[in-house]
Amino acid sequence: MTDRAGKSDRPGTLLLEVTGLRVSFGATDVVQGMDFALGRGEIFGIVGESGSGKTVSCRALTGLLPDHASVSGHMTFGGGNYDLSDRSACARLRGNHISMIFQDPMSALDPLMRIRRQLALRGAGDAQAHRLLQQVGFPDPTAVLDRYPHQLSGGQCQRIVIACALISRPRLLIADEPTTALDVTIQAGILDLLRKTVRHAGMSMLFITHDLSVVSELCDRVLVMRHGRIEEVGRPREIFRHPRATYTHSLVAALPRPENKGKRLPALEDLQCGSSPRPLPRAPSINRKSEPVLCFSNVRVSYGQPDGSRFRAVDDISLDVYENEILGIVGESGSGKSTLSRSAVGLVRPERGKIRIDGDLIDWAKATRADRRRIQYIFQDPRSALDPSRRVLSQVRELLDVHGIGRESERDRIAANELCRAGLDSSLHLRKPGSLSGGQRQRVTIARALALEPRILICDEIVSALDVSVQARILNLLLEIRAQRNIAILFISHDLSVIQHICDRVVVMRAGKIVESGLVDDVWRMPAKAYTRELLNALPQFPAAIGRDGVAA
Amino acid sequence: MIRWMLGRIGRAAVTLLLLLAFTFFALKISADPALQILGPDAGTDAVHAFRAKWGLDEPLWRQFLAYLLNVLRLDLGISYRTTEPALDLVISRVPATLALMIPTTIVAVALGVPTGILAACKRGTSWDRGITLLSIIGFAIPNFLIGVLLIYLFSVKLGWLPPSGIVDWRSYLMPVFIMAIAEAAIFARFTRSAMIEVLEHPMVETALAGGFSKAKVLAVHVLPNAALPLLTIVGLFAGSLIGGGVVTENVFSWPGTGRLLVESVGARDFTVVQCTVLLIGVTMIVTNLLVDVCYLWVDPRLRDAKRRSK
Repeated sequence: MTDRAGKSDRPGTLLLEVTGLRVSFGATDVVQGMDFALGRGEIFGIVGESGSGKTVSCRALTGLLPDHASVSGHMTFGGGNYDLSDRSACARLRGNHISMIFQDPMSALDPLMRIRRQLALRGAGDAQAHRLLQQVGFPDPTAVLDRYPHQLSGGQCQRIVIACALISRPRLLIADEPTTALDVTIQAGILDLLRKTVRHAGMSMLFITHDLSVVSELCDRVLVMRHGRIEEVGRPREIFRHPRATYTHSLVAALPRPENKGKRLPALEDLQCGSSPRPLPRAPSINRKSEPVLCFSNVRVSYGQPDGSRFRAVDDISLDVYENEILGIVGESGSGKSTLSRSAVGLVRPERGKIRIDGDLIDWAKATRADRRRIQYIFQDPRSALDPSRRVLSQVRELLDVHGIGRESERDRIAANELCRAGLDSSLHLRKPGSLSGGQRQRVTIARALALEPRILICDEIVSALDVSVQARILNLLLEIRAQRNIAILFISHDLSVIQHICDRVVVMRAGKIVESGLVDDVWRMPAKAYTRELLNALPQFPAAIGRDGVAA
Repeated sequence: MIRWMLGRIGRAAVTLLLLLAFTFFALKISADPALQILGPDAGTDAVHAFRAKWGLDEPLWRQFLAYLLNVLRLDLGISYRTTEPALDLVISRVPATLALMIPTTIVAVALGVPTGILAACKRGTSWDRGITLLSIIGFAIPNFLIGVLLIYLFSVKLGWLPPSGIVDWRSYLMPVFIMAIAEAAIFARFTRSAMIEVLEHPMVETALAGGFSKAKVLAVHVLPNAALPLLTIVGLFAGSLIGGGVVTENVFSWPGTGRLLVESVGARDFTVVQCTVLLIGVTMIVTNLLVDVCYLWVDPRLRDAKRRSK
């Protein structure tokens, strides 16, 4: 195959060079002049927060932007010259010289088609399909080829998608957040596969992500983007250890790590004015001999399955959360962590077991409004937890009305005060959720929960959808709340590094059972169970950073 | 899967029973057929004789039971009006209705689905807005209004098309057009929204990124997936084949089941009304059953769900 011979790229030389890339949607400039180059066989990371233009810039390379986007710039790719405003010329590279994979593997495949046909449509005969599936980690390809996508897991689907991307033997693979939707152990497998495949085939890869740890583990070089501009480019180890751009520094410093456990994570403004961030109030002491604020005893929740059997989502779990404590529950999807916390507020009904708040047995079927006030729940997605058509102040006040807190004339003031304490400036109180950012919206839901002065706050993956810098602010806020409010917090997350940063104790869940529990430092340093070790090992390693002024250290 | 089918058939049977009971009792309550047929001046003896002849003097539940047993034997009674067997009378009208409704379905699908696809592909452009406007107009103007206007124009003024009944092939043009417009408007709206939902699915982007042309993505991924919700709405329309043309058939004095239904209601010819409603109900239930089976055939996810529940 002459084509193949032409594509075997020697490492070291340039494969892709982009100059003066600009993208705008109407009057909004999304990418404002980008130049970068990618060597043959190189894994190049583009990292940035949401809205930084990282995804848009990569789609511009293959003409995959909507028609109303205007693109300008120039690209050389494998010896050819391309004008990026000529979308159809760039589009001819797709699926031929450039393959792309995206975030959500489960919906990247056609649900009505067998895997065999999906591969065949992209030009893979049976023999090639077999070989590719073996290459992406299916020991028995025949069984997989005859399946439909819904019969496979997210990780398996992503492997199929990768196989699809390899069919045309592309020179460049663009991977846009390919592991963000996956569990950490699955993510580790996919990253490993991508690395090996790219090296083996001599391809280059553009890897887009918001996750600094993934970049630092996977990529040869990394480009940091913000507001459509390049902040800096370099080797991840150097960039993250000695960031030149203040922005990069702020990203690194905002990462929760063992070194900054329990400390305030600095924001960009803190670093810009050079002052070290004001310290968090001292964490209050926890008395684990006292009555627990929230107590699960032998709780079991099960769901009926279509075949009539019962699936135990939560299997005989006993757990106490004490005042002033942040208890973390960590587990992969399907471990039952959310079901457990939902049973605490009566969103699911436990089949067996008891739930106590401050020692009082709670039966949610008969609970009073005063009982509900004692426990509050914050969900992952603040956008859907808020009413889009009402001002945020009135959404906080509403709860005060419902529970009859304070005098009627004072409720607006109480609500405003609560929003301010949650870090939402009073100029934003009369806005509707749609004109707030994700982090600001999450502050509203936190203020709304705290307005009722609950005894316990349940935070269900409340930072998972947020950018690192915003996540850092919310984590700071939670630590402040804990220090000031005599409250207990149940913090649910799939992210061990966040749990490690914020929690006092941690419970590791798997398949509805508690695998391991203990003080978070002990579990982090010396996990007793193999599963916990597996989770920790799967966590992408971030190089131990040495901040330039000791803030991040 | 077999248990699921049996369940579905059982549910269809219950629906049918409720339908039978409803038409039976509703018609019994509404008026006395003896007085309707014989006229208000009929003598008491004549009324009693009529009631005895048709079994109308029995208690209601017994009449209903007898009716049910007869239905099971496919004996749907005798028309009070013409003394023909009601079933024969209704069935004799079915071909005319089908001759109207089948072309209507074809035209409606052929017109509505491509328009919807076009609107979805050109979303946000003036094409899309134009099609939306047209389909709202097509759906909103009542059949009888367009019918009367068209008859006035093409039959009375221009004399091109026959105004009523079946004369030759030209008789079909106006009624088919009128019904197809309204249905096509619904199909277009549904196709558009189903298509847009699929077009936003990440698999479309993945396929485009894999080098598929837009046309190929449309043919291979978008259309089959968008056909799923469309199946329901087309099935619903197919279910109303027998009864769907009541208004249009009356406007054009079409000798079909819809016209028969209206005539029989007017004449209090209960057996024929019951028989027509029953036939409409049966077609609805059977097409719905077929749609469900189609879903199983098309959607592997559903197939698995059913297989697990076997």
